[in-house]
Amino acid sequence: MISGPTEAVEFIGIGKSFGSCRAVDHVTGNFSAGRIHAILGENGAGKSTLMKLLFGLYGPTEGKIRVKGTERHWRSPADSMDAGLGMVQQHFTLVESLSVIDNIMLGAEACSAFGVLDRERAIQLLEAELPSADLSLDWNRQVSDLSVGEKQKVEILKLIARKADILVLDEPTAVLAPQEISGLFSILKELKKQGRTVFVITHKLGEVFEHCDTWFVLRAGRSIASGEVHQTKVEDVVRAMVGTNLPPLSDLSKRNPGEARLKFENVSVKKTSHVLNNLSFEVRSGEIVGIAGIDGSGQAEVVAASLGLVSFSGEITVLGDVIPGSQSSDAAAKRIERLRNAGLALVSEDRHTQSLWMNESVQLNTGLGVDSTKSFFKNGLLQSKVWTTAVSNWLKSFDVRFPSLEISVDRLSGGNQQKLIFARELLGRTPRLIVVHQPTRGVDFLSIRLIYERLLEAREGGAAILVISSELDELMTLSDRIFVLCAGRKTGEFIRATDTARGAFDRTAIGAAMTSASPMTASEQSSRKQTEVSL
Amino acid sequence: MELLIAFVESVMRVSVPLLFAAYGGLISERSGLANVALEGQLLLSAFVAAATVALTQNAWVGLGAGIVAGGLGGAVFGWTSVKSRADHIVIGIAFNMLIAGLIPTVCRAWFGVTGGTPQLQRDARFTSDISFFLAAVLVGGILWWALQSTRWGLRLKAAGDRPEALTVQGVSAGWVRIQASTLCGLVVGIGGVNLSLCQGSGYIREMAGGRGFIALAAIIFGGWRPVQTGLACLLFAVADAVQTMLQGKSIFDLAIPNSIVQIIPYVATLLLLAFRRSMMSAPSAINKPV
Repeated sequence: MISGPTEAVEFIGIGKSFGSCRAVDHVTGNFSAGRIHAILGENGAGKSTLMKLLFGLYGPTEGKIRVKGTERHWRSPADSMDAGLGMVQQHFTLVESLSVIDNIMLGAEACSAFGVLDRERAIQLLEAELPSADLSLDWNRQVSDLSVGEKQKVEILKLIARKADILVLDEPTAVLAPQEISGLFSILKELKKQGRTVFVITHKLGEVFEHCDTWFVLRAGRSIASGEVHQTKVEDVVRAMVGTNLPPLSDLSKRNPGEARLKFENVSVKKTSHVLNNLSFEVRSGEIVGIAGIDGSGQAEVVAASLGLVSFSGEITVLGDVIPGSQSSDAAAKRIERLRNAGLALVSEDRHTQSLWMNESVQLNTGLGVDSTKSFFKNGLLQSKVWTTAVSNWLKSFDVRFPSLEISVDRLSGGNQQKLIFARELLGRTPRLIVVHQPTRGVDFLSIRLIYERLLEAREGGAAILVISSELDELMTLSDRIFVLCAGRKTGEFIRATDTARGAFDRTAIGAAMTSASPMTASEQSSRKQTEVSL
Repeated sequence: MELLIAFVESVMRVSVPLLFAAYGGLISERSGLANVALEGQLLLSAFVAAATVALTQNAWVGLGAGIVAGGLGGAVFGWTSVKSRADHIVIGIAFNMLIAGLIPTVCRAWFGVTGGTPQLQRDARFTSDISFFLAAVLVGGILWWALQSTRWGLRLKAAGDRPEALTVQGVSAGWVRIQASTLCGLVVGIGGVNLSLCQGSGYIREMAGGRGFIALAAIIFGGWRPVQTGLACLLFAVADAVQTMLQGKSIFDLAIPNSIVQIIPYVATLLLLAFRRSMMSAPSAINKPV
C-alpha cells in the first residue's frame, strides 16, 4: 500500500514484550485520516497496549510507528501530544473537586501575568475549537456533579483544547448507558467531519457496525484481519476475534416453573416521588425472568428492596423469608447473610464498588462471602490448602485467566473480574435464587457465552433467576419471561412465544413498553440518582 | 475593658505560630502530602533562628535563617515522601524524631548545653506581636486567593485530588508536591521564628508544645480551606488565652491546679475534632504515592 499524507497512522511490524509475555507481536496496519477506526479484540488481545504504543505511554520493543507520514519515536506522552495525539483512558483522569474548565486547562493553563488564571480566555479558545454545540457543557460546574457521559465529554474536550487531531478512546462505551452511547458517537462523527482521526478500542460489534468506518482485529497480540465496515459481515469479524465460530448456545428445555423464590406484591419505594410504583412479580424455581427498561427506571431499587436495603411498602418474600419494609442496616446485614447461606447469589451492577474488594487478592475475592456452611475454617483456623484448592477449581471452571492467586484483583481485565464474581456466586453456594444486574457489561464474547451457559445450567438445576439488563438482546436470549419497568411501573409483561425457541419475543412491543409511561419529571430523576449513590 | 484588650492581645499572640503552621500545612496537605511534621518544622526554624541570633546578634538575619531552615526541612520532608513512596505519616514522625534528637546535639556542640540557646537580648529580638499577626493574616489571604485563581493553586489541588490528571498532561505531580512541601516549610518557618525571637527570648527545649499538631487539627477542622482553617486557629488560640488567664486563679476559694488549666487547649482540640460535622473531606489522594 502506498503511504501518503492521507495515512494518519501506520504501524510497521511493531511489537511490545513485558518480560516473556508478548503483548503486541509484529503488528502492521494503516489507518487513514478523517475516519473512525475500530480496534477490536477479546480481553487481553493487545488492543490497549497497541494504542499505548501509539500514544507513547510505552516504548516499542521493535518496529516503527509513522504518524502523518513521519516516523516517530516518542520519549513520553508529552511528545505525542505535541504531535497532535490524544488518548482518553478507560478510567477517567479528572479532578472531581474542580470545575469543568479547570480540568480542561489543567497542565496547559491560559494565564495572564504571574500565573494568574484567565478562565474567560480558556473558554473562548475552547469554544472556537468546538465542532458543534453537542460538546458544550456548563464550564463552571464541578466535575463530581456530572454524569458519566458528561465526564467523558470533558475528557474529549481536554484533547480538543490541545488541538489533538488523532484521538484514541479506550473502551469508551463500557461505562455508558445505551442512550449515552449514541450521543458519544454523534460527537465522534462531528470530530471526523472536522478532519480528525478517531480510534475506538472496543469489543462491542453493534457499535462498530453502526458507527465506525474501518475495523482492525487483534488476537493474542497479532493483527488478524481488517477491512471496511460496509464491506464486512458480522460473522467474519467475530470469527477473527474469537478464532473459531462461536458455538450455538445449548438448547432450552421446556419451561417448568416450580415454587416462587422471589415475590414482590404491590411494592412501592418512595423517595421524593415513587421510584417503584405498586410493583408485583414473582420469579419461580427453574425459570429465568428478565427485567427490561431504560437505566434508572427502578431496576436498582428492585435489587435494593429485595435485600431490605431501602424502605418500601408492600410485601417482598425472598426464599420464603418475608423482608420487613424498614429495618436497621444491622438487621439488614444479618438477614442478607442468612439469605446468602440459604442460596441467594448476587451479581451487582457495579462490580468495582459492590462485588469486589479491588486492591485485594484474587484468592480473597473468590474465597470470601461464600456459603458459611462450606466454611474453610476448622476450629477457628483457616484450612489454607483446602481453601486454595477450592478457589482454584472454581476459577478454572469459569475459565478465569489470572497470573496468580496472590495478584490484586484490579489487575484482571473486566471480563475476568466478572467471571470471578460469577464463579464465587454460583459455586460458592448452592444457588437457589440468582439475581444478576448487568451481567455482561464490559465483558468479551467468549466470556459472555460462558456466563450465559452457566446461567442456563443453573436454570436446569432448578434455580430461580432474575436478570436485569439494559441490553434487550441479552434478555431475549436468556429469559423465559420479560417484564418492562418504566419510571418504576411495570408497563408490559411478555412470555416467550414457544417453549423452546430462543429469543421468541416481540422486540417492538417491548421497546414500546420501555418508553410508554409518562416521562419522568426532573425531580424523579434526581431522586433516582440519589438512590444509586446510597446503594 | 482592660481585661478584654489583654485577652484579645493574648489571642493574637498565641495564634501567630498556629496560623503560620496551619497555612504551611494546608499547602502541603492540599498537594496530597499528609504532614505530621509541622511540629518538627516549627522547632527546627525556632532553633536555627535563635542560634543565628545568638551568633550574629541580628534579629533580621535570624528571621531569614529560620525561614530558610524551614524551607530546607520542608524540601527534605517532601523529597523523601515523594521519592520513597512510603507512608507520609511514618516519614513525618521520623522527621519529628530526627529534629528532636538533632537540636540538643547541635546545641551542646555550639553552646555547651543541651537545653537551648542562650538568653537573647531584647534588642536582638522582635517585639511586635501585631506585625506577625498581620503577616499571618496576609499569608492566609494570599493563600485563599492563590488557591482559586492561579496556575500554582490549580496544580496544587490537582496533585492532592487526582495526581494522575497531572501526569497524563506531562506535569510531574511529585515535583508539585516537593515544591509545595518546601513552600510549606518556608511559611511554617515564620511561625518558628516567632516562637523563639518574639514570644520567647531564645530557643528552649520542646518550645512548640504541640502547636504543630494543633495546627494540623485546625486544618482538618477547617476542612482544608484557608479561611475556615484560620478561624479554627483563632478558636484554639481563644482556648489557650483562657488557659493563660485562668492560671493561678481560684473559683469559690478553690484553687484550680495549673496542670488542669493547662490542658484546656488540648481538650478543646479533641472536642472540636470529635464533634466536627464533616463539611469537606480531605484531598482524595492524600498520603497516596504518585
